[in-house]
Amino acid sequence: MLTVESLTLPALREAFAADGYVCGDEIIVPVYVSIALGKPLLVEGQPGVGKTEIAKVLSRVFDAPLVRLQCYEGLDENKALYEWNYQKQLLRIQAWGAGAGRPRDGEAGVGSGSSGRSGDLDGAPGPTAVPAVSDLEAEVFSEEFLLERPLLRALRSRRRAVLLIDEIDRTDDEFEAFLFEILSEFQVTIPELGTVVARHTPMVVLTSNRSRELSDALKRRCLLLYIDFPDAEKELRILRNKVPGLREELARQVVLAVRQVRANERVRKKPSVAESIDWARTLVALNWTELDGEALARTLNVILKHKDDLELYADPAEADALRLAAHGEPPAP
Amino acid sequence: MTGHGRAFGAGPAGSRAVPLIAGRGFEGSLVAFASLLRHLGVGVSTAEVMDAVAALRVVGLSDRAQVKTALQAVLVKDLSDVPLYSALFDAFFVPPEERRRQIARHAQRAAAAREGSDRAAQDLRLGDRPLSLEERHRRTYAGLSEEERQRIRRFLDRAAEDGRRQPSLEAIVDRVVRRYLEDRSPLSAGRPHREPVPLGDESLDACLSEACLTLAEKEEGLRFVDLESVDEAQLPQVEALIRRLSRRLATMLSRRYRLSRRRPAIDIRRTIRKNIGTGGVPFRLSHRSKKVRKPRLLLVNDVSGSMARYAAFVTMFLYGLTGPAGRVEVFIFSEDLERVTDRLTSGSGFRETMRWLMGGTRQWGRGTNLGQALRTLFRDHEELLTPSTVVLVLSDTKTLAVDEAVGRLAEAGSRVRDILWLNPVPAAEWERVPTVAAFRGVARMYECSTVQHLERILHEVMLRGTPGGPLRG
Ligand SMILES: Nc1ncnc2c1ncn2[C@@H]1O[C@H](COP(=O)(O)OP(=O)(O)OP(=O)(O)O)[C@@H](O)[C@H]1O
Ligand SMILES: [Mg+2]
Repeated sequence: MLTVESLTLPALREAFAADGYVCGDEIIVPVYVSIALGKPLLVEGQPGVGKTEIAKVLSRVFDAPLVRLQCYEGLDENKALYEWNYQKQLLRIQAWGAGAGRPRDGEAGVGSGSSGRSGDLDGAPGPTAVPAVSDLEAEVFSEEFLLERPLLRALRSRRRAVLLIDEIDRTDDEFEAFLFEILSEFQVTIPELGTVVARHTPMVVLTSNRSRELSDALKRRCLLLYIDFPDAEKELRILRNKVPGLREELARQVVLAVRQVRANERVRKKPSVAESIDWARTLVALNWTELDGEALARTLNVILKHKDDLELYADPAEADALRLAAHGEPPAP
Repeated sequence: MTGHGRAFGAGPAGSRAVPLIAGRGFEGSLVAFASLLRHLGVGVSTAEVMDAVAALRVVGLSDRAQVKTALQAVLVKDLSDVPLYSALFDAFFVPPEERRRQIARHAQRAAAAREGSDRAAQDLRLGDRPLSLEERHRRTYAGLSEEERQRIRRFLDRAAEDGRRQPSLEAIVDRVVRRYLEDRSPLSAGRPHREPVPLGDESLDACLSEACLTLAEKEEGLRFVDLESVDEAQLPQVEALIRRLSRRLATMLSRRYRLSRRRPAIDIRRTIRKNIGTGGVPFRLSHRSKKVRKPRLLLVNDVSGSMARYAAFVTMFLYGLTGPAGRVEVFIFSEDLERVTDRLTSGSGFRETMRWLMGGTRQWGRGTNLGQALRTLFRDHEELLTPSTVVLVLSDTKTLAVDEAVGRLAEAGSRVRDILWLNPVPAAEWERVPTVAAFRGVARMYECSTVQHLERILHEVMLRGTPGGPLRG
């Protein structure tokens, strides 16, 4: 198991390989430097190139808890950092109201506003001491009533966590600015509880599809890793790693076929690596050993998610071109 | 991590090791490197420089590729800066003997430039009096073809003769030549990349100049690549090139339109044509007949199939040119028209739209229909068709409803300043495409499949007002 303190580049390279993540130094080096420097890694690239997977691999090879913050439009601090469990607070207050209102011994004169309210009904002090309002307030804003959200969880994790902030480009500038602060200090102040300082700086991985430009400040805080589309060789290696029982010949056919579909400009939704993997798995599960016409017809829906695309390949000419491409033959004229 | 300390220090002088600047160590070298990056327009903060130092400490210097990757991750946050970073890294981290060669090459180039500029100073005089020009004008002159330089010299000879009779003309000649050279620079001088402003340090300047040269050569190649065949790896470079070219053209534009508001522009071409072309005619200035007004651009992009890529690049260029608030309207069409201006100007929407355009996600499969698209344009956006509008249609002419499209374009033509057709199909093949002939009747058609084409065309449209080339009808 790797540890951050004794990490070396060769060890990290080996661990990634052993975990089945296919990459060269163009990926390993930035990952390594980001961990060594304790800086967040911002991973950019098209869908399916393995951005999210990096965080997952890190969590496995360091045996670190993976804390994932999935970003979406409208994500705010409450959902990302913490919020008070207000239903529970309410219940607690109601309970207090029902059975309390009487100061505990020696606390009569605090003047905390615990003047007689509904609680005075049955006169005598109850068997359990009921807190004064000020204490009640402290209580309902205590640890017990706190709902930890991913960012706080990552900061307070007893073991060093991998914090995955996935698809950051889906949030807005305001959230980004907030995130920037957390990633600068690795601490937050919760007014009622005080300042929480990270026990261990988490390994932070942010991913983005570049659907919008992130702020300069945030980018400067991070190391930037751009992952390109895999070439045929890399995709083949990914399939070998990810799909047990896949025969070499079939793996090649899958890669060639997928590349043909991606290159087809009439296809609406291009399959990504994730779809190649699913396709290969399906073929193996169904015992296909060869991407012939029938195998294609029966399983193409795994990589073609759009109805129009399926219709397109229902055309015998297109299907045949695909079959030929899968076998490494040039399309018929 | 500490184990990595071994790698640096003496650092094996193997070919793959990374040499620092002698005597300056990690920090000194990286501070210098960052200053060069900044000098070339890549923003690098002090914190990032410190991170770079820390990165070198953990990666060591023994593996050049690793160092390059590590520093890039720390210092470069905008993909379109990667080509520049790469060229600068290669030129900066070199052993002393290579640095000496760089300095020698740089000195040689500087000497050649000086020589050119001295010759320019010799040539650019009116009789005995040197014209009042700046160094950049002399550089531009030095970069012109011999033929063009001759033309200017002949012009000056004639002007000198005329000037003896009418001394008041002398001052105007300076202005005319100056303006002519400004018009030619730097585009026509054929240098895609200007020499960097010197820093005053022999060795850093040599390195800068070397990096810019490498970059220019690479870009020079990219200018001529068919945009459809640009692959994913080249995208950032093409994007950077387009950004740079369009920004530069934008600068020229703002100068032009600022000037034209002050005084009637002298039509330098007509002036020279009149005075030199015929020979011996008394020196006269021609003023532009029409007032120069910055045109409003209306771009109509065909996004069916492979056209989507061209659409993305052309749109990118236009936006670099005018800025998001500029006078540009963008439409796309396949089977019908859709206005995308707002998508593009809504801040974050630009990149997304680029991707959306380029991803070819727009596939209706019912066939491209320019006729229908133009019908919609007239119905919903007629107010955009004004005498200051230049319409740019980007399409390979493969469309349904050709007759309707031709008719509507002709009608639009009577309302707008000009209609240009950017066609990615090579001009040599136009003969064989019947629809080309039909549309050439109603629009000026240009071959436009590379950055180079695009730049030329827009340069013409924006700076000359009306482009040359095949006339309508
Ligand atoms: N280099 C790789 N080695 C091994 N598996 C990979 C690699 N790249 C991608 N994969 C696999 O492809 C699938 C998609 O990867 P991942 O989810 O990381 O993509 P992503 O870049 O996050 O995409 P998106 O932008 O859609 O979220 C995963 O199953 C992952 O295991
Ligand atoms: Mg992902």
